[in-house]
Amino acid sequence: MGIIQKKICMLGTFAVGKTSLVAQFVHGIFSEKYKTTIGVKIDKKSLELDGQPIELLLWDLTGDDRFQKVSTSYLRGSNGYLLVADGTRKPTLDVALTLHKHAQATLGEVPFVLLLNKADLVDEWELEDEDWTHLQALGWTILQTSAKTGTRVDEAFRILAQQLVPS
Amino acid sequence: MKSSALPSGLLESLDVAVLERAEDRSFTLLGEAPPWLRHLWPTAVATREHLHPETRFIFLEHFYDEAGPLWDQDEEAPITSEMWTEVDATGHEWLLEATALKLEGRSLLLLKFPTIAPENYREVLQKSRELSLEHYRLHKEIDRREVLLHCIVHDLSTPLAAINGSLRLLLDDALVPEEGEPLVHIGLRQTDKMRGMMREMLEAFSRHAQPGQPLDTDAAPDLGAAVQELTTGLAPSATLKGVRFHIETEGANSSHGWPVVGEATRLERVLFNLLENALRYAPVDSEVVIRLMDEGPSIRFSVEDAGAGVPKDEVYRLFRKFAQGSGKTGQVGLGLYFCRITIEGWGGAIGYNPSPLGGACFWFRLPKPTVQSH
Repeated sequence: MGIIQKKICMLGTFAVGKTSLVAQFVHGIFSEKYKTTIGVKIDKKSLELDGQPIELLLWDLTGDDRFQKVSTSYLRGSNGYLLVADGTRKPTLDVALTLHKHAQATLGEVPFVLLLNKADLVDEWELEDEDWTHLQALGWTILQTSAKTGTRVDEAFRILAQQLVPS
Repeated sequence: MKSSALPSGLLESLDVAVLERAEDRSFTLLGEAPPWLRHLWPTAVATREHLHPETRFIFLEHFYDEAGPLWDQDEEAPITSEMWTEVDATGHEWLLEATALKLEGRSLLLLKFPTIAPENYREVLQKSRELSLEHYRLHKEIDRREVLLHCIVHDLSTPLAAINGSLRLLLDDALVPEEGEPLVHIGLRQTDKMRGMMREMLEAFSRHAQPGQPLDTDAAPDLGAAVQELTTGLAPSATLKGVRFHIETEGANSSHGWPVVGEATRLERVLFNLLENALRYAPVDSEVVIRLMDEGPSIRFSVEDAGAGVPKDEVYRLFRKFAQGSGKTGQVGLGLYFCRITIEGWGGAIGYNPSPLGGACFWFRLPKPTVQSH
């Protein structure tokens, strides 16, 4: 069975944990130190889904903010994407929702998953009942992850990968 | 005669790797490889021909979508990619960009560092984002404290209403001996004032209020009268402690009083904060000296006590939000901050000096209202 290669982009504003999620998924490591990403960093992860070998190309893009905007050219050729928000900073969820619209406009309707990251700091989360209601109404696949503890990180990437592979 | 050929080692010294694309879409390394390429892709430097850079730098596969048409169609305007980061085995990050161009029919791929100095760019971006995160954190902290303040003020209102109500009942039901009635009236006036103060404190610290904005501009408050009334109100507390208020005046014409720019209720709150502070820190059986001085265009107020004064290393933050003395008397540290934003909002100034009495001297200066012709 040949290896299927799929490109996945990590989208979100700065410091939500995109790089940390990739590092946790690919290398099983986490660092507390914040180091901003410039441009894009590409990592590979091989896995198997229902006996099918898959190679995921993880495009860890720079955070989208007023200091640096994400170029849509990075999105070109993506098979899917992970939207990442930081539960302790509510505005990051708004950015994620905006980036989703841009991604859809660029790529069309490709599979994606929304990750509410930093679940290890849930006591500091800023999401209110109305936010949860709104998110549930969207009908998206949404996971609460922690790149620090690894909670649901592997699951998040696998869920997306499953949607990218023809059944 | 000098050669017109480029000196060897030029590209290497410019940190540029130049590869030429062949018809089979493999690449050949031209010239000397720069040090970073030797570090990141040593096999290419050894092999030099039939190279596929996209196998080492995955990002290039993406770039070829744009570069391909340029190479295939004889276009000459170069295309430069977005930046991307390569991480070496030591974890060091290399920021790179690629340029595709066609020169004299030859398809070329240049790999190099971005035009802007990568380390400077990274440093600026890193710092900007860190500051942005810190700003967000501080904003959250301020919000939390404002909520705390509102809760405290709100919770104080209830017992105060009970005290006020009880005092009124004592008077209304004639339960107080005649000689005690003035004291009950003092209590009622003070509780009424405190309730008014709480309402205004909430307004003052609300986001939408302008600090120091006068609420009642009909009449300039009389600073002298306000001081007299407050010292009378605080007299019972002072007496319990054996502290005496001593008021000195200089320069004012008694028929004109001591009018200042401002608003009566807030001015009373400023005075209450300062006088109550002085009373709290004054030692038993001492004097709190209050001075009013007519300075011409302004009036200066000062209050001095004979207490321990403010430690030198705490003076700089006296008038800031949430500044508490080392004694941490349980106050939330907003009184002097409120005084500052109020006085400064009225065009005045406020400050602290060590007192000749050995304790603290707090002062403020307010402009006199300008006389309007009728």
